[in-house]
Amino acid sequence: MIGLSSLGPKSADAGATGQTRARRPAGTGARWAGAVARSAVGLVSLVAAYELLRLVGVLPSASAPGVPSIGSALASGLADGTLAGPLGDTAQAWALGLALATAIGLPLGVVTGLSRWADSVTGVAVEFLRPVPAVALIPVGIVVFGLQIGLQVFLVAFATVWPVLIGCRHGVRTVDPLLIDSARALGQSRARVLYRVIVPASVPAFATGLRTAAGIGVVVAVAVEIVSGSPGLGYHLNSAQQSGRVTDAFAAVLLAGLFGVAVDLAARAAENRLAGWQRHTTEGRR
Amino acid sequence: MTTTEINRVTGPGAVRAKARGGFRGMRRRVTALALGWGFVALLLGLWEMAGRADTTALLPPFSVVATELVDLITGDALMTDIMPSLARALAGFVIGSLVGVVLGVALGWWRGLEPWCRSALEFLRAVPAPALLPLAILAFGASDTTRVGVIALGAVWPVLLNTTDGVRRVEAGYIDSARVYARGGRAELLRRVVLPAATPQIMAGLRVGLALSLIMMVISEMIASSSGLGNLILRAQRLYALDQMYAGVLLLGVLGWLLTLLFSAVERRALAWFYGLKGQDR
Repeated sequence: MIGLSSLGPKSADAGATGQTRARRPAGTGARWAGAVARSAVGLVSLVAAYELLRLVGVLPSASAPGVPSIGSALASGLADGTLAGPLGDTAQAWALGLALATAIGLPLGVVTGLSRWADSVTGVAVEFLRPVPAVALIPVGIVVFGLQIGLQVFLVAFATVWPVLIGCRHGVRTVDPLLIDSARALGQSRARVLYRVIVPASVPAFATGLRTAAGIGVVVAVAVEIVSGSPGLGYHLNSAQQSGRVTDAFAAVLLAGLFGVAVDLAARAAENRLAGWQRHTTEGRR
Repeated sequence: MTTTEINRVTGPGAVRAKARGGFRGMRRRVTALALGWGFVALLLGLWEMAGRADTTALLPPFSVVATELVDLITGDALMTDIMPSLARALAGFVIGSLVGVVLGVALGWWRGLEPWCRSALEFLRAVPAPALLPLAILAFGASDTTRVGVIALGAVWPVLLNTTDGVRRVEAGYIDSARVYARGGRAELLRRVVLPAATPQIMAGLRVGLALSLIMMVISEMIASSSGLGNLILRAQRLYALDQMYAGVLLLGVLGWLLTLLFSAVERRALAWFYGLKGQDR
């Protein structure tokens, strides 16, 4: 519990950051600027570390271009569409795969969360299928779908359906029984309890599952493109590397990283929006 | 954090029922397992029928694939592909986990570091690890070391971030009590109080890291490689040896399943005190 632990009398060094972590609503300008400055310092040191590794030869300079040239390759690639196009392909496959995973995982999670019977029936199959590395299915996907977008969507969906399903199942199963019993005692029908109590109460767990899934989806989408040659950032960077356009390959990796950051930020924002209210309940967030 | 919560429910239903104890719990557990395996048998039966009815030769029946799988395990592939794959995955996972735990404890313990590193770490984590593979091969060559390194790079982030969170969220009361009642310096405090209290979340990170290690293992063998399970199934697909391809995929599934089972067993041991403490039987 964030709130409580930050009140605890900690050691001096812990106390200071404990306060910043208490999510003060009034983020004063100075504090915010300080946070931005620190982040910037972190990112600059990252760049410096990379350049240092090149300088001392840990990274061979022939196969690791400097940051300025990567940056300009990224900018020109985005401007003339050679990078923007693949980014769009990757984003599309990611979004469709995640949507398909939600369409399957959400109802399955609710049903297995509600019914012990349904959970028993599907339990072994889920426990077996979940650890299968999704990329192992790339050859199967190629045989079944060819090198179309269906291949990427299928594999992204296969990888991301599990966190969604398990998040929903967990959310539904751990709804406070008191809430359900109260609603039933007040004469609500089962359907209404499901719709008005169980589903809203399990949204936070679902949102968490969805956020996990969003990150995994990016990894799998890029991996599929690298291996299979279906269109997207992964294919773009692999072909750039193979034809010796190293700077372009680095720019594509940088863009993939930025896409990953954007996905993560969006997923956090969505989670906050869907589940932020939970922070104010007695259970709180851990 | 939330990963731990998800984690808690993923343990097999068996544990849950067992902890309730007694004859009824036992019976319930057996029924659940029977239902679960029955469903799996049903699915395999459907696969068999679909495979036999299939005229396009795209889907061999389960029996054919299973036979091929047995051939695979008993043949040369065991030493040339399967074992090297497993060794690389485990080596990468162990290295990535160690680095992740050590860095994560440091970041969680010296809280002042975190605001400076957070943005850089978030970016590094967000870079899809498979994307680094072509670059790593270019820079360091297509060797086993490169592959293990990239596998470790895939596993390190979830471990690092979960460890940082876990260490930072250790209840202040534990630390205060230890400071008041126990002798010993900071190292002792870290070893005896902070690390055990952070273990649930570290385990959650390790579990994600294991899954990512397997993904990276397969991917790293699909690019510029001549051995390993990933290479085997991609080669089989290109040669249109579909029986072998499906057998390889099935084998990867079984390996992933077994490794996860093993991990769950270790986790249950490591966290037995935790479930007891929280009064949770799952």
